[in-house]
Amino acid sequence: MKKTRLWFGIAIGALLALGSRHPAWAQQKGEIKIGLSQIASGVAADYWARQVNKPALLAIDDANEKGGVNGRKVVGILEDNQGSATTGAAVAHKLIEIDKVSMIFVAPTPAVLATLPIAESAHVPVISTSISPKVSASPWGALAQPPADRQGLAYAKFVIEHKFQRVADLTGQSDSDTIASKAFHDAVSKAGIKVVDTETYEVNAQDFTAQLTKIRAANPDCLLIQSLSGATYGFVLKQMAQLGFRPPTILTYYQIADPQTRKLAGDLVDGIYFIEIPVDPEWNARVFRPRMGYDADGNGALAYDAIALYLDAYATAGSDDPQKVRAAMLNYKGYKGAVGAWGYNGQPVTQVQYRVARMKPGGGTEIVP
Amino acid sequence: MGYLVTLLTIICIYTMLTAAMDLILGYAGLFSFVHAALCGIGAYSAAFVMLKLGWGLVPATLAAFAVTAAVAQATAAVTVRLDEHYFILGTFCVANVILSIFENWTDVTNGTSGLYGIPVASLFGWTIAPGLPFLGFCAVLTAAVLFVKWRLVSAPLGITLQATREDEIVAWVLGNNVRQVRTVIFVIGATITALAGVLLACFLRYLDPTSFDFSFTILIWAALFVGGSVGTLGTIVGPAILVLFPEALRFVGLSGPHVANVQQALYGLLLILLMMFRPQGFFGHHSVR
Amino acid sequence: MSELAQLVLNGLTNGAVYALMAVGFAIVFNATHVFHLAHGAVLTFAAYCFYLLVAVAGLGLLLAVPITVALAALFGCLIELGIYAPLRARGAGSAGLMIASLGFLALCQNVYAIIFSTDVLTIRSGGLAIFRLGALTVTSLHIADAVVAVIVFLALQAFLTRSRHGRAIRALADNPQLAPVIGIETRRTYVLVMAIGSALASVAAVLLTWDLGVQPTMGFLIVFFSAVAVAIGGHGYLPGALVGAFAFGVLQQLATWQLDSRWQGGVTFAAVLVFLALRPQGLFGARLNVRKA
Repeated sequence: MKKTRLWFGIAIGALLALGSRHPAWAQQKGEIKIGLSQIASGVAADYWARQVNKPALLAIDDANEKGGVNGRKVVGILEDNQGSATTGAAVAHKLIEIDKVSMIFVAPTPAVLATLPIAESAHVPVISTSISPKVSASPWGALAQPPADRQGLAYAKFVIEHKFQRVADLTGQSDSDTIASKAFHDAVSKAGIKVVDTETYEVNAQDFTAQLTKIRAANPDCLLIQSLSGATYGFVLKQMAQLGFRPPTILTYYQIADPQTRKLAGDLVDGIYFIEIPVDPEWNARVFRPRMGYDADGNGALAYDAIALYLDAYATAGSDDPQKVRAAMLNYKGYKGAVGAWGYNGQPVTQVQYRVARMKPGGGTEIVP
Repeated sequence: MGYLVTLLTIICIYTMLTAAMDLILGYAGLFSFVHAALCGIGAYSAAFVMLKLGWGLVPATLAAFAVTAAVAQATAAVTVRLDEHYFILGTFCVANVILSIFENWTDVTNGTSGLYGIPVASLFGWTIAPGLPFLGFCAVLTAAVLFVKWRLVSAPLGITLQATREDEIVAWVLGNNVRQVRTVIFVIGATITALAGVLLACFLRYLDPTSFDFSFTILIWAALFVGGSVGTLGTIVGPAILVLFPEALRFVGLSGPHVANVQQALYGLLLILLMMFRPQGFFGHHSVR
Repeated sequence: MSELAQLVLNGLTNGAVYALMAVGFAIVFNATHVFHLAHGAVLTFAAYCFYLLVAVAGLGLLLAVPITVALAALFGCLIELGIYAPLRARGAGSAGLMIASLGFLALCQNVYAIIFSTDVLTIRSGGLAIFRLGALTVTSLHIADAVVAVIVFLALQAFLTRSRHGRAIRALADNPQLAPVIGIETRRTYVLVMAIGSALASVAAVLLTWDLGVQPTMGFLIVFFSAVAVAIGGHGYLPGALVGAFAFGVLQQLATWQLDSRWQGGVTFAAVLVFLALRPQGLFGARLNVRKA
């Protein structure tokens, strides 16, 4: 028994000794450290790495290539929060106290909301691509993703403009889907359009046949399908085909353009409308694709821009005082990046708007004016 | 400082959960899949009372106890009389129902948007500040729980439980009301998890349904098996290892998208190796057999 | 009315896949008394094998399916020989075996994620050919699922009743203490049972992967659904697992009928609980699984 404990203690000691070589512990003068509390495990791990973690780190690399922030090197410290509140809290403390980060870029929602109280009392700004309104309500938070009700209103605008009479909504249970769905329903009902059926699928569901059967029976002329995952869209479309169900118009979120969807659903995706974050194709071709080997989607673009705009603003703040840096960021004008020209316009919420696009038969997408 | 305090607080809360699991699984031999969900019921009940009713910590804790004990009683009534493997499935079903309620009963739980802004714990007018004071508070409560557990298992109840775990027919023949004894311990264990849930709510000051899913229950199982069941030291060591080890890994400079997968694969392997070579865990007195 | 009928039909087609998994789980559990959660790891292993054989190596179905089944059976044997048998030799009981099984499932899921990533890997894309029966629709694949499930099951029943090895399995399931006494080789029979159970899982894997692709976590929920299906059908009676699986599939669909579909999971499992409370022996349970105490 004693021997086991001894070996265990030696193992821990060795790990910690190895760890002392970790860059975060090496004290470099004048460096600016950015904490990235994100998902690096679980079902979404690879997607998250592609379209959140790597774009954020790319923005840091690009800033350094341009000379850093007023000549100071920027270091990104990525920690896995497992999408959980408990781990998120531990990560927040670690980034703030041990790494001494200037800002925490954190998602998804459970991790953000666990991070907020800690960051608030430590006076560390938090930037998030979650959609929780609590982030923008906090004096230290900023939302780099359009809030969910803007999503819902974008859906509603499309439906109202095209004068559909019978819409149906297939929505998930994430906080994003729930809030967007409500905003959508309110706007559409106010315009006198009938929502003939709303069905909800559970988190991580892969079988939507029950929900789709009920929607099929309601015979909508436009179906809104809400999801944050390309694979989910793939399954939904296949199961719609399985039920011989294809409403005249389908409206979705931009994840329909994720390569995973076409891999699953093939040309079932053709002609489907979706709302998207306007990614600048020139930026994608020049900055992103050559180094990453794939295209940035809305999440990738927003992640890149959130970090890049923060760093650009930091250079103009004239101080390391986090409150001043945050104010500089919120009021920063003239940034043009992955989503084109945008800013916070003084509000702790990005002003980026959605636009409508459509899946082209045979591949690719086209913007719908 | 806050980082270490945070980790120690999490270890305290997990120790409480592991101690409860030790009573249910270690002593009584019941493989409960509903552990995390019961913790969630305690957490949400307390949060509801504090956030939406505006009451204090004591009524919140009492509410948590009451609701969780009631749910545990109902669960036990259905599942305890079933065969060992049905107990697993029965508690699996109950856990799914509870998680569905967490996600969908939005008037109480706010669904997937979560309950944010749970007030800082305060007892009789004294605020228990986040950080060291809260850790002290958790540590005291955890010690109390471990004490209660120790008294419980030294009493006839504990011995009866182990007898029922080893051979329920013999225990029954000898005059023990096996069903009742198991129900009692399940409800007691559930009440302890409710207390852990209250502390979790006050600690994170935010609750969401994904915090109480099956991976959390399996984590507590792992903590119990690593630390060792039927024992007190094990219920502290297990959580400590499972919390500190991944945090220590952060400092080793490993990177890449699959580090967490390697870590979880190692946990799986650890469970297999433990059953193979050290089924009583590091400090346990009973081999899970 | 046709909505209800379609829901039932959906449930039966989903149930066919659950049925293959449930019968595999049941046969292992009945004979070895192991709560074989690693069954989910076998499903996923078979799914990745099938994917590699068809999408990467370009083999036709005629070759890929038998190879997948063989590999899965081998994998099952390895689990028995490498994990369950050594554990039994060290005195582990059903609890220890279940925990090791769970550990193996977690290990496999993460190894798959490391090797193949967490993305869904697909063999084909697009919809499947469908048949219409009035207002109802069903795909050719799902008809095939149901037919295959029934055929495989009948073949299994024939094996269990007619062949020497099959009868040995049933003897072991009925009376583990007496079986060795009458000359049944327990350890070899365990290996055979694991091979058969894994082969059944691989058939389910082929059907699932063809339509929905493969991802690391696909086995986790399905193995619990199979265990629930076996409980609904009743332990100790193999056709019970089959019926239980179809019943569970239909229940999942009906849980949304006239109810807000966001409660689908909660209603499904609440119904299972009520059923088990009222009839703990399941639909066909020969043995009463109520504790006498």
